[in-house]
Amino acid sequence: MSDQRDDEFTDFVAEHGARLLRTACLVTGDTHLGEDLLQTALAKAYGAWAKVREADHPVAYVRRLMINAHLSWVRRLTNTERPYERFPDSGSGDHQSIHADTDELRRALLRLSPRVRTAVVLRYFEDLSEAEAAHVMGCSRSTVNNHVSRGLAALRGVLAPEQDDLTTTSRRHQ
Amino acid sequence: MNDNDTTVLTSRLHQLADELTPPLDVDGQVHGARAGHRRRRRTRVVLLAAATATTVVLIGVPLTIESLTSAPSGGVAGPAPAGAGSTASDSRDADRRAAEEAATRARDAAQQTSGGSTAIPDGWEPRTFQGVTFAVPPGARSADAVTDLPVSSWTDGPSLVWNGPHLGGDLYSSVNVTVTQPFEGGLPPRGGGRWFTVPGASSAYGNIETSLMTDGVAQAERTVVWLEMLAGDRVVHLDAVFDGGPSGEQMARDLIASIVVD
Repeated sequence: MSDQRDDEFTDFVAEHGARLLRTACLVTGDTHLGEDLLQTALAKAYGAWAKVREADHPVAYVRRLMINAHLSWVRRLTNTERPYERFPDSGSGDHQSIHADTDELRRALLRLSPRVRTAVVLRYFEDLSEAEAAHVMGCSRSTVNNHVSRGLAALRGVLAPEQDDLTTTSRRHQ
Repeated sequence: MNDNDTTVLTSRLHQLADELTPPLDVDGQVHGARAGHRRRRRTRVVLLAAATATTVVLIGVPLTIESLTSAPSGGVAGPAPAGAGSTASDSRDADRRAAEEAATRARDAAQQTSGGSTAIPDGWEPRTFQGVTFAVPPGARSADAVTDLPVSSWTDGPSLVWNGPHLGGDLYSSVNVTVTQPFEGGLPPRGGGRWFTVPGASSAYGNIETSLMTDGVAQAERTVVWLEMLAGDRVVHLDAVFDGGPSGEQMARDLIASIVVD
């Protein structure tokens, strides 16, 4: 029985682990934290494998475990809710500070509060609907909408230059 | 943002994910998940055993003391010999009465130290939400935020947030109480805490931690409280942030001591 569970679990990780890891890295904004987050979620999934395998969408179930673990870390290590999306620019203690100068989007994402960042990643990376993102995050649709609006507003400045480039490029082709 | 902007955002997020994400080590992740699960299960078993032993001692000692001190006035406290002025039935009744009185006293003591008006520090304000009674310190910056969601899963449920005073930078003190379904009939698996006794809860696991938080300008020490309580077919989650230092830790202890679950 245990061997069967191990085999199924291994197959699941082999098939879906890479995708889950990409999401984990984006919501944490850090490679190592992303790996730790995936590990935490997989440990919970392994413990509740019977439920995972019977779920309509096992990947969605594990993704939800992962986001829940991420938000629990956030609750424990930072504030319950951050009223403002302001992070220090100094990057002290930030594992990604070495690369921050070369990656504007990552810096912009790290400036968002973890909940806002999670909402943006779920909506525009995972391509979930507002309702699906709300289900994963354990909050209401209006809360997700609010988070996403704030996130997009904060990211607009980062995306504008690329959009200009695209516009210029498309004009060039005309 | 228009559709074009969001398309660009999606594309950039995928590029960033490509850059951030290392190759997946399937064997390492599977092995780590299995080991992590077993470690957590062992910890839960040990902590449950310790909590059970503590409960037995806490209940057994008052009952023993009660049965010893309920000897007839002037008599020497000790086990009553069979047939020494009382029948077996009288003895059983006396034992039952003693147990009931001890239980009542223990419950009253718990109420006084946990949720009774005498245990709430001066100026603290009582709150009752979804059958959970607790107290919060004075100085809320705005009204409580209540979300009336149904208790639909082990992650979803109604919540109340007490919006506490400014702690510096962009950090605020807060208390968040959320009620959810149990996780597989119990508390969600979680490490790094210890077991608490909360009146009305069959088990309670959490911790009071000191955390370095970024307040928008610099890092500052804050007191973080998290506690998960199992009460019948629901789990009450409590998360709170207070100022760092002894005063914040005392607030955290007072908050936990004020909780009573109906």
